[in-house]
Amino acid sequence: MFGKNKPPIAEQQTDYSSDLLIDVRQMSKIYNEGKENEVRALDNISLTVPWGEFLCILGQSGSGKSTLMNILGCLDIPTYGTYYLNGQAVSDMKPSVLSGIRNREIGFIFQGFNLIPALTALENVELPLIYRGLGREERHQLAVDALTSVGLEKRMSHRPGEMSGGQQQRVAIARAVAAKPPIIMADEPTGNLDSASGLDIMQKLTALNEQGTSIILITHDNHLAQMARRIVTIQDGRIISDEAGKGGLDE
Amino acid sequence: MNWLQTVRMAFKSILNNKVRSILTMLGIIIGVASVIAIVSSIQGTSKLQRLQYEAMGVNRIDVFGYGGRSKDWKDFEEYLDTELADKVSAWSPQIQYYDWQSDGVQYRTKKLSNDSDNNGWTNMYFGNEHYGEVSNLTISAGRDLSKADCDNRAKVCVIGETLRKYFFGAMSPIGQELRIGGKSFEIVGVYKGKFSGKLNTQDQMLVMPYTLQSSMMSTSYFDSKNYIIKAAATEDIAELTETLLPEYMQSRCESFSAYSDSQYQEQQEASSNLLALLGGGVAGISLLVGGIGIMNIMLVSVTERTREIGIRMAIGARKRDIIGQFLVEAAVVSCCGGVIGIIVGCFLSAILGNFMVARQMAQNTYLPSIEHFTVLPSIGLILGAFLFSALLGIIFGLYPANKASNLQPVDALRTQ
Repeated sequence: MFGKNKPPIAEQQTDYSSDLLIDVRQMSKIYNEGKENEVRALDNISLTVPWGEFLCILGQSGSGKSTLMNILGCLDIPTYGTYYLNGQAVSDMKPSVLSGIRNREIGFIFQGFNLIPALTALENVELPLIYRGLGREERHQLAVDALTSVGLEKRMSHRPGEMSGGQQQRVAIARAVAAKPPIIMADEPTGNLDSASGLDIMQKLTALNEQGTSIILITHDNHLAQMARRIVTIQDGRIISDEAGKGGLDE
Repeated sequence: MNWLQTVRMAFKSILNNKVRSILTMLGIIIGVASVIAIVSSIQGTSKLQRLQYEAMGVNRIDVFGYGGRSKDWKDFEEYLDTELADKVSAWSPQIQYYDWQSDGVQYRTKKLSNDSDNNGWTNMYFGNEHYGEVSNLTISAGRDLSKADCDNRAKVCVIGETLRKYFFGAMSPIGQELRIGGKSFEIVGVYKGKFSGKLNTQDQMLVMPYTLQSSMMSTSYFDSKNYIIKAAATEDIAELTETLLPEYMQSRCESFSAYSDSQYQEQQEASSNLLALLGGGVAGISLLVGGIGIMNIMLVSVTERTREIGIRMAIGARKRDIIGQFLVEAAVVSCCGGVIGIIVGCFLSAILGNFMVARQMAQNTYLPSIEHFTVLPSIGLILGAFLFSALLGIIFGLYPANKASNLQPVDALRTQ
């Protein structure tokens, strides 16, 4: 599944060999360990997530939720503990393999959109497909489809600076979903948006989950968290509750 | 990610920062242009000089001897033809005809006097059928002297371009009779001019069969002998002038010398090569400075685009993709600079080089003028300059590229 060779996307079937999408065991992330300013961003966390879940990680600022997402998203490595993504120990992987996982398995949506300002919407969406090694026509088609699915087919040649926040976040979603990854990780995706745009984004995530994509949403917003089917609350680097969400918003 | 894609991305990012990219390129442009201009100018003048010397005769050796017996000189000629046959491709006597009474050359009633300051001196030589070959003269009309002319003591001559112009203008000189020393000579051929047929240059000459020498000149001049020898190869020249020729003849006459301009010219070329190396080296330092400029800008670019690097890593760029991106960007900047520098350098060398060439031609009036000579950088120089600038971009791009690729995605994303 995480091999070096990159088959064309059509043949790239996700391997559901493990029942668990995420299996985190006694994981800690400690900054400046042993020094005076030691910070335990994550403290002995264990968590399992099955395939197809819509999980929300809820927590206040500084609770460690972003650190958790960075590790779950293979952007960072834990100090202690093990992390199995689809049965594979991520902590043992080389950076280039992790790049491949981020590229193929995970779509990221960030609070700050994280689009590359110099590239147009279309080029931004194409970028991960380029790194995947897809041919020009295939990736163009996938990118156009993704942008169309978020309703931006008329803004494809615009640069991020020429679009509203909501539109930029939709570009970011298009970028995340273009290659149809099995997992979407969204870190405060509505944080910089007005409520209408935010709702729009949340609906798109829900729709994706209904199509079978596993979604991990990180937020500090109790209300928003109710959209998920499961809510894990984190405080001071520890999980303090793990409960079912409503799976939808009260209007 | 494929290579072409990386290059396209690099171009895009360079275009996004036009002013900065052009300023960065400027260092490379100036460096490459000055290396090309300086080296090609020096090479050009050196080439001009070589052409000028070659116009006098390729591999030409001038032999002068005084006070040998006729038999010894006959033996010398025999020696050239037999023992030195594989080192000497041709030779001819070159005996100047001194003629105080007849006062130059006359065609019908028109005279080209030797005593007039304005007209200069007409060099009249006795030579054999190889005279044209050894002094690099080519026939422009008629024919050269032949062996039969020499054997039969035919009263014929081949004239230089100046005489043709002076006496005949648009008319054909072939078959016309010139009066030299009170005798009539039939013109059988004309040598192509090296000085455009101007008066007072080496074009003002004619050649007659050497067998006529005794009937035209008093014996007192026989004592001195001149030969022009064409060596078979440039490598043979030194051996001929330093050992083979003097060793045979030195003891048999009062004074003997064998001299070749090409030796002098070799020294000149060696020193001008050294000059080119020096000048190119100094200009190369400016290229180096340009390279450091690239590194500087790339480092700034890495810092500025840390977040972009983080984003790229988050969506799947591997370490080598990031290295490739920055390396190719640096290489594209330096290659673009290199190409522009080469173009500017070609123009500069045309201007600077041709100025130097004109100066040199004006200085060395004793050498034939070379027409349509333009100084242009050699292909090797252009290729070398281009490869060097590309290499420069890669070397100076390596550090920033490596720095960029070693960023942790999470740290890079955190940067604002």
